Amino acid sequence: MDLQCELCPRQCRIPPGGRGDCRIRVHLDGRLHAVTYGHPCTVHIDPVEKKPVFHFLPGTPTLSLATVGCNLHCKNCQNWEISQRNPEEVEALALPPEQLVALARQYQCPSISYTYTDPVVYYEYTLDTCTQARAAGLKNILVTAGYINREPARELFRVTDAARIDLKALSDKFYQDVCGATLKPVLDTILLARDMGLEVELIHLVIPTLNDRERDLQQLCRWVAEHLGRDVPLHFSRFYPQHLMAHLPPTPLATLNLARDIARAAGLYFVYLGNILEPDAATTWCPACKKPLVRRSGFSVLENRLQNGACPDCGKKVYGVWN
Amino acid sequence: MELSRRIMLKTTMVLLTALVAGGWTWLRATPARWVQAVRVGRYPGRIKPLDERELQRPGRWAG
Repeated sequence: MDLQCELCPRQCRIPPGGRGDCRIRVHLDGRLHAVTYGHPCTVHIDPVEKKPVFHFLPGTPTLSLATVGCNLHCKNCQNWEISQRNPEEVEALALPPEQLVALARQYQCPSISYTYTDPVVYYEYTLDTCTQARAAGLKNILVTAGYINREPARELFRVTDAARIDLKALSDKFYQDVCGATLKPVLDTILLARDMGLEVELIHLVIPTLNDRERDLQQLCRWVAEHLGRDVPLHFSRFYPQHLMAHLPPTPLATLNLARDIARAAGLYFVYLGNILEPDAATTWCPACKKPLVRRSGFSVLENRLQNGACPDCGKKVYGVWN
Repeated sequence: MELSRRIMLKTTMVLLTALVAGGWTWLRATPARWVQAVRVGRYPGRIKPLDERELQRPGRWAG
């Protein structure tokens, strides 16, 4: 008899011996198995700014991991060599949740990031590690496309502190054509994360000809301002030719600057440009007195003037978890 | 009387058979629903040892 996986909106119906669309949830012996549980294919200590997460423990290292597999199939995926591969094709480590927590403590990482592919598909591993990490006083950061059903998302968010979620476009057609997914579940996940009190940051990869029209960017920024508020950080990331989109050019700097102008005009306080080294592309400005608060270059924090999460000049509280 | 009983038995048998067949088909058509999978990492690929020097370097992957 078939099984139906109800973790994500795909609701894969899996015959005996078969696997879900994510490649790692397998129907074995009448049960659904998470075959990558405890088996990350990659583990590194990254600066938290690399996620990118700018308003959560800036300047700290985060133990970052992923297993193979993904429930989206973005044609522009930068990590397709692990996200679009079967576990048989990629070597993995044996690191159960308690060992990940021990590693984070050993290397003085205040947080663990579930990243690179998508923690949604290695859900059980993420959930158990988050639970144990929280018990050990560590924070949890999800780096995700947010393509998950509501109930499992709710359960995961209870043990999560921050979420960096992709908002790839405000267009269902884009999600269908480029990612093989749909838009609404992603928006629902973003709203749920915000409602449940996670520190939420959004990233929008600007791809020439696909989601870089002025009207698209305006619509996206307006949605963020109206539904999440003006203080949710929005990162515009530069596209580089990748995977099945090697024929497209990199995003012009002018387009990224336009996106930032549009976001600011929509009222967003914290707008960043990523995958690019430009002066002030990654600077946090005080929303009230407009003075620089955190200056960054690449993944490094050059200066952090915040005092107890507030501007030292005007006292304005700034969205985020700062220490 | 005898004829009626035969008809009644026949009807009952047909109904019971239809019920059992319908139930079986419905059961076959409705898959068991799973949200959380079994936590047994039967990893089908190769297992490699942890390289702690590699661990301390930022990952080559985006994110």
